[in-house]
Amino acid sequence: MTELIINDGKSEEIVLILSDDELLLGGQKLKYEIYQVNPYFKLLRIGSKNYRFALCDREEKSVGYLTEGHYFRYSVQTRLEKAIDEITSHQKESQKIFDVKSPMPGLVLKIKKRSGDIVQANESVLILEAMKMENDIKSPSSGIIKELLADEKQSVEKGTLLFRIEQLTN
Amino acid sequence: MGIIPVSVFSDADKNAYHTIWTDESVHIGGSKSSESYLRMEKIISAAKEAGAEAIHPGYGFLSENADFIQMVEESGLVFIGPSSKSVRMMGSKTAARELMSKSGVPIVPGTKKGIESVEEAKNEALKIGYPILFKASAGGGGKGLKRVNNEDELADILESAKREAKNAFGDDTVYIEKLIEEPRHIEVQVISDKHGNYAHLFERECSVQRRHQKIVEESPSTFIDQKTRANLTSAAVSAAKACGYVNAGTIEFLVDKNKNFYFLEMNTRLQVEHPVTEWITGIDLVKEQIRIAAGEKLSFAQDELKINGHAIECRIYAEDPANNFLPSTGVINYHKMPQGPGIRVDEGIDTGSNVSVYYDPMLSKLSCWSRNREGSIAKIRTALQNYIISGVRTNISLLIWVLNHSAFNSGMYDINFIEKEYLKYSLTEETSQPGEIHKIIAALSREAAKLPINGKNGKIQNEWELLKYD
Repeated sequence: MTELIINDGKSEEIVLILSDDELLLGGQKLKYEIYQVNPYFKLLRIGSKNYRFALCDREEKSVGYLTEGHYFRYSVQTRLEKAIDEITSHQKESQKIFDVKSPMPGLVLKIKKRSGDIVQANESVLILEAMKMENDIKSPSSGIIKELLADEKQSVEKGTLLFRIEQLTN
Repeated sequence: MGIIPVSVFSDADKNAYHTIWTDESVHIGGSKSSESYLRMEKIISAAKEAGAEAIHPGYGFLSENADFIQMVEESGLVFIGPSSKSVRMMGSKTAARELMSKSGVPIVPGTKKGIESVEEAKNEALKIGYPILFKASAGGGGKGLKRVNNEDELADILESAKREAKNAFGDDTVYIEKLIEEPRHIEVQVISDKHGNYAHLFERECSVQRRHQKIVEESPSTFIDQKTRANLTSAAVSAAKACGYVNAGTIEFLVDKNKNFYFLEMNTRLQVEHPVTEWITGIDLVKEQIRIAAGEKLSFAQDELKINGHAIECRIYAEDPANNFLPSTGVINYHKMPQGPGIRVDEGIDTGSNVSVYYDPMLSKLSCWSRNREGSIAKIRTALQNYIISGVRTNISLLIWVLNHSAFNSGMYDINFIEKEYLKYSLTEETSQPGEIHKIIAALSREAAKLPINGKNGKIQNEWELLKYD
């Protein structure tokens, strides 16, 4: 099961992909089929209706596609990614020391860095498992890991401080 | 025709569509057009090196350059197009205007020289009829261009037009031209051979323009009646005769709301929108051009031509409608053209083509024919919806918007159509697919890249493997 938050810049909607052929949208359960005609051209079938689309851009958290001559672009994020985004973007403004907190309840699966390590911006520091998905928790800035407060196998609550980065001044 | 085509190409076009699909191609220089496609002597020596007999200039770059045409003429090669003399005659706007005026082709009324006084301006304006425009003699880019609706406001506006002209160009000379309100851009295809035979191939309506660039063209025009058509086409043939024109050319007119038409300019070459004329007349214009250049007579007589049905062309550009129509570059990772009876694509790209920053962003031209206008609008709209170009942004959504618009469908539009209407509109709401489908596509797209080709939901379906043969 994957929960994805779709944002077109104006409003948000949640699509819950339940399985290979079922999803939940707006409280409604739908059967779907998806076929890959070629790497860029795909067919979505819901009921007996066919929807053709060509994938144009696929980035980590957004997709752009073409359908019936029209181009659409949406941000597509898991709840965790969205929460991380919000926290890191907030933290970027207050600079110097970045507190990275757990965006949601989860289990620390693996810690990739140690206290005192130098990391680059967007470098993965640890992996948090939440809603059966592995999510990289990345450093919001380049700097030194001042404190690493999480342990492997530790369950954390939303808002638990995971690590603290001190920005390096040039 | 049994002719072996030879193309020329730049660094950026080593494996471009036109290079791939010609039997021979000669490299002529760097990616910048100033280092390749605009280098006259390079092109001529490439032609000689390949043993070519004639040069067709297409419709960009040097196609209307009289110096180049003269150089071809002097090199002993044949230029597939008009003589350098005709091109020179029509190349200067003021000289062309005078020539047309003498030949009885209507031109936009105006004064020939600068205005000296308010009194003179009032007298001239009265003769021409309001509204009028003050235009800076040294002008361009809208500077020193002022509209006057009536005599009361003339004096003040003249003063400000002169001031603006002085500030912009250091010359305060302004002249008067009649303002053509809600004009349409209608042009006539003409063609002639070296034996003095002239013909026209009716009109093309090209009023759907964005920033003075045509994007949708059709023939016949819904706006003009039989009488206007007869006058317009005969004026066009007169214009061609006036400059001793040989080969295919186009006379562009502005047509006002009362169906008065005025000579705008002559395009002394084949035009981008020539397919719509080919559709409705059945004449292959490029073939005809080559025959004429070889000294043959026109393959048809004027009275053999009639308008058959209706055709529309849409120009597909690599530009981003959501980002102020900025040109979009990149590799075309998927190109699927629509097909069917009465559908034609003149494409310059294929899957894998690189759309570079060096040249015009036009990717292809889609044109459709049907027995009537409703039919060709419906056909080309469906064709656009089924035309897939991924890898770069295109203007296809804008073209669909045009074809869906009531003004376009009723035929009542002028050259300001897109500027007036398009701003009101938001592009993303226009497909027939309901909003929730987009959310689902977006969600599944995130996972879709993982799917195997021709697989369903991640499971490869190769039923041949399951078949048991006896």
